[in-house]
Amino acid sequence: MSDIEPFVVPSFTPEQLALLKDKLSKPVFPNELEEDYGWEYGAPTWAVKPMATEWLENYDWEKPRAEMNRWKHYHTTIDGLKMHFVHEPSSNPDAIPIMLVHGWPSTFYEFHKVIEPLRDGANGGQAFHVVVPSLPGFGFSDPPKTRGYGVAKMAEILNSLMVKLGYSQYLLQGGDWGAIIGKYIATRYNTNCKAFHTGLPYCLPPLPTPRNLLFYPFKIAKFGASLLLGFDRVYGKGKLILNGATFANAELYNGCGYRAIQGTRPYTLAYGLTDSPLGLMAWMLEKFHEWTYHPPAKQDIQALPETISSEVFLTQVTLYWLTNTMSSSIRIYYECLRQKEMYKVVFPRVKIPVAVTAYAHDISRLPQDWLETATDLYQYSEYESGGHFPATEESELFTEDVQRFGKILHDKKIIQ
Amino acid sequence: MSIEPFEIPSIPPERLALLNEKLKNAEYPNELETGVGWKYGAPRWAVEPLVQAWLKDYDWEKARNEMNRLHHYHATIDGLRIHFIHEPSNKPDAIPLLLMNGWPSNFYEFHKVIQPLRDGGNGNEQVFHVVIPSLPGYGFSEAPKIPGYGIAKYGEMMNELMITIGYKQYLLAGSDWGSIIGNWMARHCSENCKGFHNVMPLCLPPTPTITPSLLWSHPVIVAKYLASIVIGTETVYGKGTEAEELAFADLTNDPESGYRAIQGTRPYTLSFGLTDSPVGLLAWMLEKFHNWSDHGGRQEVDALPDTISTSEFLTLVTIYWMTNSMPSSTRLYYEAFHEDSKMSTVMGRVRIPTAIIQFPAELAKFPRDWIEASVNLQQYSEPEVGGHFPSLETSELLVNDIQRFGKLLKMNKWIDY
Repeated sequence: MSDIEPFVVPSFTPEQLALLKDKLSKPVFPNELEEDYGWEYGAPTWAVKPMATEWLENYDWEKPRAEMNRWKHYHTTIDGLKMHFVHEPSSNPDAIPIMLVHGWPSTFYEFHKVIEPLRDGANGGQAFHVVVPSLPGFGFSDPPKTRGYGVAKMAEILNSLMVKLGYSQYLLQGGDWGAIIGKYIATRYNTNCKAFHTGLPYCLPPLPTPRNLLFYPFKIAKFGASLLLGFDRVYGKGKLILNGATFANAELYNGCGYRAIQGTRPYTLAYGLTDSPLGLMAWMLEKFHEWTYHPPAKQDIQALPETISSEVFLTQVTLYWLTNTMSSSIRIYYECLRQKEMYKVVFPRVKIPVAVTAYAHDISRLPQDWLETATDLYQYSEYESGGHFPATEESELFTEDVQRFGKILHDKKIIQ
Repeated sequence: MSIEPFEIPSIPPERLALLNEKLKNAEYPNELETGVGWKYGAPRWAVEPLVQAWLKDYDWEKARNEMNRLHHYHATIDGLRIHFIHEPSNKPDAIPLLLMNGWPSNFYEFHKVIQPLRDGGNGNEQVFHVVIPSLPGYGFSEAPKIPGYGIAKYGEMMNELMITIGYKQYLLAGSDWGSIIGNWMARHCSENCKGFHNVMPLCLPPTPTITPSLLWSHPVIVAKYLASIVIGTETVYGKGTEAEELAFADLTNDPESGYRAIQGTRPYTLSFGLTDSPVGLLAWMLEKFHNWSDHGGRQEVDALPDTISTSEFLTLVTIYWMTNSMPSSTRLYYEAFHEDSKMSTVMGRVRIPTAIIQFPAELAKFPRDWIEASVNLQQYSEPEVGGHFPSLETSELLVNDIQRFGKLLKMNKWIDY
């Protein structure tokens, strides 16, 4: 344990702050069509410009920094990389360990509203020893120095981190890459990872495997019927969202262009996202707009949803800016694509207890049938609100759902 | 429809000062510690020296003076102010020539070929009345203001431009988008477009399932293609012929297509970094000028090839910068991607006389068979050197090829001029 060093989230140095403000005060905005076409072509200037002004004139990093420094941060070296993490152990004797894993374009800060409620067992619910890492190359964790740091390598590092902290058994909660890496950990490191909670399960449909034929013949039949009659007809409207089930074929899914470019030319893309705070912020804003839940009437006319304040969003952006990690963060797409890791993630069945949350709006959603055949499904919840960043958008629902699952794990001694 | 003379302007002082300041304050991305060549995209060792050159050595005025030796104009086509160069020949047997560039390029791509094409050499070469437009949204042409400006509309506008200038019949030559738009014009504007010189042919395999008439017109070609499926493309067509499926934005079929995937779906979001950061713009363009040109084997250690000078490249970049046209230029991908019946905009037999020249470092190379089945092939060349930007990389070779084809058009009276 000797090389776990405490860390304090830093302020901007005067030079860093001056540079950011200077760049923000001399923006050049792109040419656009004359009329407003909402978000059809991507993030429009009418959304980006006010956010840039907000960042320059009103945003105060010191405020979220003080919030972040309420928690204890550390660095430790794993696989030659300095890994940053928040570690908030609970004083509750029934607490179980949980690792909260973010994705892209997010950071550990995604969980800022749930760290303390989970630690303290809010509302009389389950309490947790909370660990929130920054993925390698994101925020305050070192970027990988050599090729190959995709899902498998990151999974190994994260599991090692929990073991190093003394948590030989833990619950993993993950979204976005946290869900992909999480599933890999749930299937490959299930000596330590004893349960998996996620909003983005990544699994196969009920195919006629020997196991499925034995235990779930009707689910297989239902899936077969859905191929003939249509998914909506068989599973219900909106129960299956596949978005082309593609990593980077923009001809099948017009929302995966970013994966196509990040998965092939991360270096070339990174210049505009590193040199221009505007470029960085717009690139992130599109996702914080598109992947979150907006009331239907408001989707096209607002940037952030009401559930994410501009201060929270700008804190996410500032974390990337301050640490210059947008360039390294996008390389996970390249490494995953090159090593064809998505196949390694989707195929295996999850044998440990799983909880899945289906929020109102996300980039994918699977029917409960599929989850039951592909995982050991203990808990499944559907919500009328919330999207891809539920810990931020709907922190209370998120906390309650995790606590509910945690209580089962504690009571059944699945995690001790 | 009035035509107004135009002079390429200087960079306004505030904008030049802003450019220099942004270049001076450049922040660079994190990269891996091991060298990975160009596998992840444009590396810093290639980008940073060009940024420094842009800041310290590059002089826009020099390029501007060169450009202003030629005659520039604006004409209003379909409500948009379109910039073009018009250099008529003073010889009586000249024929009109429309030269169109693509992305990430602009009219300056042709700067070395304009005079040779207009004036010819010492021999009996064909000469031309040279017209070089800026495509809408590229350089000094206004950008489209409403959606829908894809390949067909661009083609209509360019044809209209030639007619407006007074050229009811012309030869068309193009690279990149110029070639794709040209393909459309060759099929849809054949009353005016009388010949097509193409450096970037795109064809479908000659299968009867796509083009049934091929069974009658080119049975041997069809048989050869079917054989290649069984025994291999290289066995049938020779080494170096990739008859791969090309895709617009399907990465699994075309690993180069990431830029098309993002530009074809979210051009607005991409444009902030490319507009606000000149470094972002430069790097985005450099990757293409690197990947698509012929480096004679030095691909992994070069930035620009020997055939494209730093000042040529920086001039192309500066034109994008000072006109803020990178955003609008990328929207052509979006519009084309969303165009109705987009396949038919690029596929379909070209019946007007066509010259094809396939350079070795071009994005794709097709078997001659396939080309013969898809165009009215009257001239075919396969040079040993050159890539996607032949008027920069191999300007003499390209000029000769266009002159040769122009002569053919004239002699056979395929163009009535």
